[in-house]
Amino acid sequence: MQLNISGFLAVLPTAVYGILGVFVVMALIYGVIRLLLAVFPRDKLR
Amino acid sequence: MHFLQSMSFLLDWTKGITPGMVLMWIIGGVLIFLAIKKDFEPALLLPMGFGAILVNIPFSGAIDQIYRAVTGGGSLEIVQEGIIDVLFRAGIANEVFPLLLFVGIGAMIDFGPLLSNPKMLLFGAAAQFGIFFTMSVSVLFGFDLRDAASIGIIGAADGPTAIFVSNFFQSKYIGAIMVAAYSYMALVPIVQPFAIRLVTTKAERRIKMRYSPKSVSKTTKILFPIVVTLIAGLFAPQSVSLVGFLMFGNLIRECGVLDSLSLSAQHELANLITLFLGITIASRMRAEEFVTLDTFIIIALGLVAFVFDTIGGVLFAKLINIFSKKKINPMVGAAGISAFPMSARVIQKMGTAEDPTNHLLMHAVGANVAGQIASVIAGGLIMTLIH
Repeated sequence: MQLNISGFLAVLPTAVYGILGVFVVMALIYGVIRLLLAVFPRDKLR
Repeated sequence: MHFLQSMSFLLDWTKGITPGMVLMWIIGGVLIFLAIKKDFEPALLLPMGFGAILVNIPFSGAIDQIYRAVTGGGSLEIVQEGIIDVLFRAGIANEVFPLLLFVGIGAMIDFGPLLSNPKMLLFGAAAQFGIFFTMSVSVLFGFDLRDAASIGIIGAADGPTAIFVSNFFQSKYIGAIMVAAYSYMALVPIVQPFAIRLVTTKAERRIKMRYSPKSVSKTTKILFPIVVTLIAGLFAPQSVSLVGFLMFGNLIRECGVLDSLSLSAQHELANLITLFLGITIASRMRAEEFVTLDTFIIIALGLVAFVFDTIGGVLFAKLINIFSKKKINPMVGAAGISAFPMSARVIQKMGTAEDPTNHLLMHAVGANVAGQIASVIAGGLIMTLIH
């Protein structure tokens, strides 16, 4: 089996964009949840 | 003699049997054994194991067979449809089964622990590292980019997402990918402790985290699935059917006026789809496609995906600890993989093993359900980036 080093190097930017993309979307969801929690405050724990 | 020749049709199978088929019977038997004896994801591994036997019987009527009939004007090809291939076209090729299963999964998940501590969302993101790492390594091993992306998605630690993405890329390795994904999900209690110990010290594993539960308003719980669908849909439109169906199930659960539908989605719907999903996946476990060196490489790469997901989550928690006064037990980061709820249970068990008074379960559950969302978004982003 031959290792495809040039292919590996070519795909690295896609992989980096991918994981960064997941962080960006999750961070956005985080921000909106914080907003929701602030606008609709938590009930008191019974 | 004439009688014996006439009865020779009973031995037709000898013309079609191959060593690969016999090997697939053994593999099917091993999957059934693991499901029954070891309780490894029995709802999926048992049907897959049985299906592997079913489709590897010579001239099996369970899969499509092409016959050549001689007619007056020449020969004619007749396709006799088999139920497993019919189910594959009806439920997996068009992605109906994984999506319907997601309605059930969405209805099962309580996002309360995550909403109560939304920071855990970031651990869900970090623990998808293995997907992208494995995709790159798969390219290194000579797989083309679409197959590499399908192999990487094993790291989503989520069966329906793996089926959806590998089917989107029309990967010929879907059978091997499914076997790897479900096997490693079952092996989370073995794989994760090993990976966590590789990158943590005993002192780190003993970090205590206090859990102060905060209730979340019903309005927030109802708006959450709608907001997540909108955000994921806008930024990763390919993920919208997966995220949308997951969140649709959750909205049914949280709305408070559809309890009967919620229960049906959690039980009848999820059970029915699960019943057919495993046996249908076996359509892609035919010896000629499955018994190859590539299958073994894919199964090894699946392990790489799970290990690097875990390491990604743990290292991210350690990174946060550098800047934060309130220390996070890095093991909680490992729960950011989607294998729910096994991963959270593993972290709780490891936490109490290090210190019997350290209960990490609810933190880990928060990270674990975040992983469920993040894995779907990762799948959608991969489909957006590579098409």
